[in-house]
Formats: sequence, C-alpha cells, structure tokens
Amino acid sequence: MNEEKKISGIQFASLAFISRIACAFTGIPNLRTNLPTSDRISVFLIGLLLSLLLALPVLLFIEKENNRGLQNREKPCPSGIGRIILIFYAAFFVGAGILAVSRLGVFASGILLQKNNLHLFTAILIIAGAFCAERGLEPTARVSVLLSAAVLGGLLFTGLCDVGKMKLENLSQPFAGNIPIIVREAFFEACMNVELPVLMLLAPQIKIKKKTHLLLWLPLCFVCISAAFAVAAAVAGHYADLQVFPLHSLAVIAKTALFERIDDLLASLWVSCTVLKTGILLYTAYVAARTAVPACKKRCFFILTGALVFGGYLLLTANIQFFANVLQSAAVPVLFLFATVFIPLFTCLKNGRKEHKEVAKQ
Amino acid sequence: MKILAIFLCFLLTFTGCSATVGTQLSNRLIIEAIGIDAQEDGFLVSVLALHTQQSNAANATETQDSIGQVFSAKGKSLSEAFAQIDLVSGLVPLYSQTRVLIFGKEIAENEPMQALDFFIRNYTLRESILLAVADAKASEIIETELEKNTLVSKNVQDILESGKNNGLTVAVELYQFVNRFLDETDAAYLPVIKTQENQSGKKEITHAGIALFAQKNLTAVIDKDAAKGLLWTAGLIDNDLLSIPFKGRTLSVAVKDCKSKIRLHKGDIPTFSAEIQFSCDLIEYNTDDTLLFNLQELEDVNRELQKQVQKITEEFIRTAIRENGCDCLSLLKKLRNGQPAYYAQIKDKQTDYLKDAVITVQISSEILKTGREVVKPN
Repeated sequence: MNEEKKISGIQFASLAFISRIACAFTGIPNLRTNLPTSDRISVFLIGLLLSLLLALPVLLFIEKENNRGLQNREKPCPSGIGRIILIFYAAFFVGAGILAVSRLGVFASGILLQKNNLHLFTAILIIAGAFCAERGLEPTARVSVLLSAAVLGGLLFTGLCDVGKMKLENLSQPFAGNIPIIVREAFFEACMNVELPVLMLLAPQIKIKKKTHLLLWLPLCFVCISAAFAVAAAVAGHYADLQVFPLHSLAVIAKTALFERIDDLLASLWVSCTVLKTGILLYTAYVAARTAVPACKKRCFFILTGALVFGGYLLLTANIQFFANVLQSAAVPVLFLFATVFIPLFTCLKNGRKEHKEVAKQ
Repeated sequence: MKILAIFLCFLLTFTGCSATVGTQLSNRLIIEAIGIDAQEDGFLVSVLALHTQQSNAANATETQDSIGQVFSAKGKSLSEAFAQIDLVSGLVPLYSQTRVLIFGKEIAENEPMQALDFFIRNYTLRESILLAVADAKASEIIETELEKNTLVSKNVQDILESGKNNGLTVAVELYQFVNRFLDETDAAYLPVIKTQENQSGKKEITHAGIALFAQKNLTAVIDKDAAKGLLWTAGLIDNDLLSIPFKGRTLSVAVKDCKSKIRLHKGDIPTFSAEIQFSCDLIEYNTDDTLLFNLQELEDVNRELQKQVQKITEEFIRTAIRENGCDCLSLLKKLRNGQPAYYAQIKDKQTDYLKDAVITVQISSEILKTGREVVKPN
C-alpha cells in the first residue's frame, strides 16, 4: 500500500468521527462527576465550543506550515528539539491508544465477556489495530467510511426504536446543574479529541479545499453524541444516571418485534470503532517516530507499540480505582494541551521569529 | 495473512454469544422468572428456570414433566441466595433470559430499592425485564403449577403486556420503575398479580390492580377500575374495550388509537389538563329492538363514551393523586421543569399540593365504524 496516497476530506472526517465516537461509547461519563444524563447535552455543547477553540492553534500551524505537517518541517533530518517533539507525539499517540483499548477493556469486561479472560480478546483487538496501521492510512480511511455509515445507521435505528419510550419531562432544563462542574466536564470532554493533534501529522495526507473542512467531524460528533445522550436521558431518566455505560443501556432498552438484541449488534460496531481508532493512533505514532528515528522499521515499530499498548492496558485495567484515577488526573488534559495548543503555537512563534530575522538580514 | 487478519477481526464481532463461552447450554440455569420475598434476616429467592434437558427434547410436548423447574434459597443478601441456588442446581445461572421479576408484598412495602440494587448492578440482567408485585408471596406465584408446558414467566409476561390492548394492567420495565422510583416528585407504579382458582379448580394467575409507590414505599394498591384510569390518563394503552349502558342495554366499543397528553398551564396558580383522544368501533349492542343506529344516536353514544372515560379518569385522579398523594402522571416534574419558582414553594408539601391541584380532563372521541351494520339516516 502506498502510504503517500492522500485521503479525501470525507475520509478523514469519517476516521475522526469513528475515533471520537469510539471514545464516547466506551467512555464512562460519570467517572469524574455525577452529573444527570440530561446535563451531558450542555457538557457536549460547551465541549464543542472549547474543541473548536482548541483546534485554532492546530489550524494556524497547518496554515503557517503550508500543510507540510510536523514531520516534514526539517527535512531531511530534524533538529534536536524537533526530534524530541516528534518522539513526544509518538509517545502521546501510543498513550492515547492505551486509553482507547483500556476503555474498551473495561466495557468488554462488564458487557461482553463477564466471565471470560479478556486478555486474548484485547490482544486480538490490538493485533487488528496494528494491522490497520500497518496497511496505512488510505485503506483504514476507506473502512472508516463504511463503518461511519453503519454507526450512524445503528444510532438512528436505536433512536427510532426508543422514540415511543421517550418522556420529555425526564429531561431537565439546560444548565440546570452546577455550571462550574458542567464547564469542567466540558473541558475534559474537549481534551478527549485526540484527533486534533493527529491532524498535525496527517494533514499533508489529506486532500482539502479549505482548512476549516478538517474540523467538520467535530459538529457531527457533537450532534450524534448529544442526541444519543438526550435520548438516553429522555427514555431512562435517573436509571441512565446510575449506569456505567448509559448508551449501552439505551441500546438494551431499544427493541422491536424483530430485533431484541440491538445492543449486541451495536457492541460489535463499537469494538470495530476501537480497532480503527487504535489503528489510526498507531499509524500516526509511526509517522512521527519514523521521522524522529529514520532507522525505525515499520513492522518492528508496530510489534513494539502493540506490545506497549497491551502492557499499558494490563496496567490500567488492573482495578477500577487506578483506571478512574488515571482518567481523573490532570495529566491527560495537560498532555493534550501540550500537543494541541502549546507545541503548534510554539512552532508558529519560532518560525515567525526565524522569518523575521531572515527578512531583517536581507 | 490478509485472510487470517480479516478472520481475527471478524471474530471480534461475535459479542452476543460471548457471555456463554466455555459453558454448554445444558450446564446453564436459564432463569425465566425471579420471585423475591422478605425473610426475618434477609431474602427468600424463588427462581423459575428452564428445565433445559426437558425443553431441548424433541418430544417435550409429550412428556409428563414440566419444562420449568423451581429453585428456592434464603440468604442475607440476594447474591447470597442466588449463590445457594447455583449450589443446589449445580448449574451456571444465565440471567439475561429473565422475563419477569416479582416482589412479594412485604418487600414492596418495606424499601424495595434494597432488593433492586442487585438487578441494577448486574451486567447480565437486561433493563427491559418486567416487574410486578405479588398480592402476597412472590414464591406462590413462581411455584404456581399451570397447565402442561405453560411457564409461569411467559404467562405473567403475556398478562402484563396485554394491558396495552385491554386496559386492565400495565407493563413496567426495570429501568422505568427505577427512573420513577428515584425521582423526588414521581410516584412509581407496578402491576399487582395474584393466583386464584378457576372454575375447574385449577390455579391461574391474574392481575389484581396496580401498586403505587410514594416516598419510596408501597403506598396503596388501586383496584382495576382506578388502574384503568391510570392507563387512560397516562397514555399507557393503545386499545381497550369499553362497555356502557345505552338506552337500558349494554353497548360495547373497541377503543383504538388512544392518546393522552398532560399539559401544564403556567400562571400564578399553575393548573394541569389531561387531554385524551381516542377513536372506536361499535362492536356489540345487545338489544332486541332495531339494531341500526342513526347519526343522532351515534352522537349520543359518543357523548356517553366520553362521560364514561371522564368518570374512569376522575376516579383515578381522586384515588391515586388526591387521596394517596401518588403523582403517577409526573405533574410535579412538569411543574419543576416548567415553573421552577412555584415548584420551589411547594417542594416540601407535595402531598398537600396534589390534594388541591387543579387537574382538568378533556376528552375527544370519534366513532369510526359501526361494524357491518349500516347507519340509518336521521
């Protein structure tokens, strides 16, 4: 597969959509704060605005660098700082992969495989993700378009099945809860958009007419996730607040005369979403790593990072307390801000000064 | 390599059957119904499970044995009792097929939430399981011996689900009950079932009203007539059968497309209105006089039907809401969302507020068909 083959804007949007939606489905919304499910809509709305704000440095970087990508700035070999930054990104994406796989691990341990050893399941999942990454961006993106259609269809079908069970009075007024907590949750939600720093490295491989088109997936994700949570709140009310995975509960409640186990069909889609997410994160990590360390061999890299992800998953999911502590820690948003805001701004500033000096010299 | 990778990915999608990996079906205790009764120091759990070897047999219908088997065990907690049942049966329990969960009356009267936590927390139990209250002991219902090859669980499920079409009872799923139960304003409700002897002396299961829960405990059990009012007012039925006196005889109509909407009318003193709409077909009029109706008579029938529904709903509002303070119609929730300042004033005296709340019932109906008998001109 030719890695340099570019993907279309729609293909990237579906990749980012799948990656973000995997996080929403397998995430535990009430792990940090116990917000009513209907307040989640406010959380996602503010989260969208914050995400758009946080995306500005990335867009600025892509614009200033003329869509070269972080890895191509200092060719043929990056400088010391450039190398460190690229290694940081590679590690960041592998870390994000560990979180994604661990989220699914926690989901699977409760919903899919209660009494069986999960490790084999997770190992197969990581192998599948690494295989996607090894194939490259374009095949993974093609699969993501099909998967996006299936996920959207699945969500729509679940929603339609639940329409008759919705009670609007179960929805509280917007911003009825504690506003500082809602804003804090929104910030954490915005920091889950690991697809933004992915753009720093993958932008050169995306055919786009306008830079802002790179963010079209954000409102789509907002609409889908908010709609899903709104339906969950309207159907199950307080019951959804008690649940670890309220969207899964919603799928269990949804049933028609013909289909009674929609949740199992959807769960298989969510597993596939996590496979693609792992694939895209490992691929992006590879793009960063191969520039920082040109001797890096593709297969060796994926074997090594796959093993790292598996090890990280084992460590993170050893007990729910540790998992919750990691997700609640400030390290996740700090690293995200570093990758999404600080480094792009720092790079743009450094380049601006360099250009200014060159102009002054001339 | 490619094919192997695709095959491995495909394996990941087999999630539905994964919970049973490693356990043969014949080694599973496929639970159909669960009954929970209070004990001095904990719970008595009765479980109706499929007799797997019997139900798997090709000649199951010809066997003398029942396709269900009942296990009972006591425990300080439900999980302890279930563990006892696992020991007794020697099988691995499969909760996901459970159709109904029945509480004994004593459990319902004394903090039913303590018996519910196990079911909310358990991953394998589905949210859509039906709940009911036994008018005495849940174990009596579970142990009822019905006709050959009829499972109590299926029978109870059919009875509860038929409420949507006959207006006699209500089907409440686990998540619906928990949602209403945990809300500070709503009153939860569950159908009540009991066993009785039929004319041939055999035991049968039937509905016996609706149990209302306010302040987290069973507050009252309303009879079938008031229960019908709840179903009509809360929009919980699609179809029903109404019989009304008309010109000294009984006239029956099949109600279709019944819809109800509760509205809050904001103001200095907020009021509520229940708007009920339905259409119906005339199906029987047992008169020895002329059978045909004219248009004027149909109008009179329509008016009588509306009066009948008005009576049913007002009886429910009087019994459940005003006398027992059970807000089964989510009136206070509507008030809380629609006029929060007013709700804050009455928050601590909800029962008193409900006693005097202005609730009007507006009914509109139409007769669609008169069967195969023609309508006379006026």
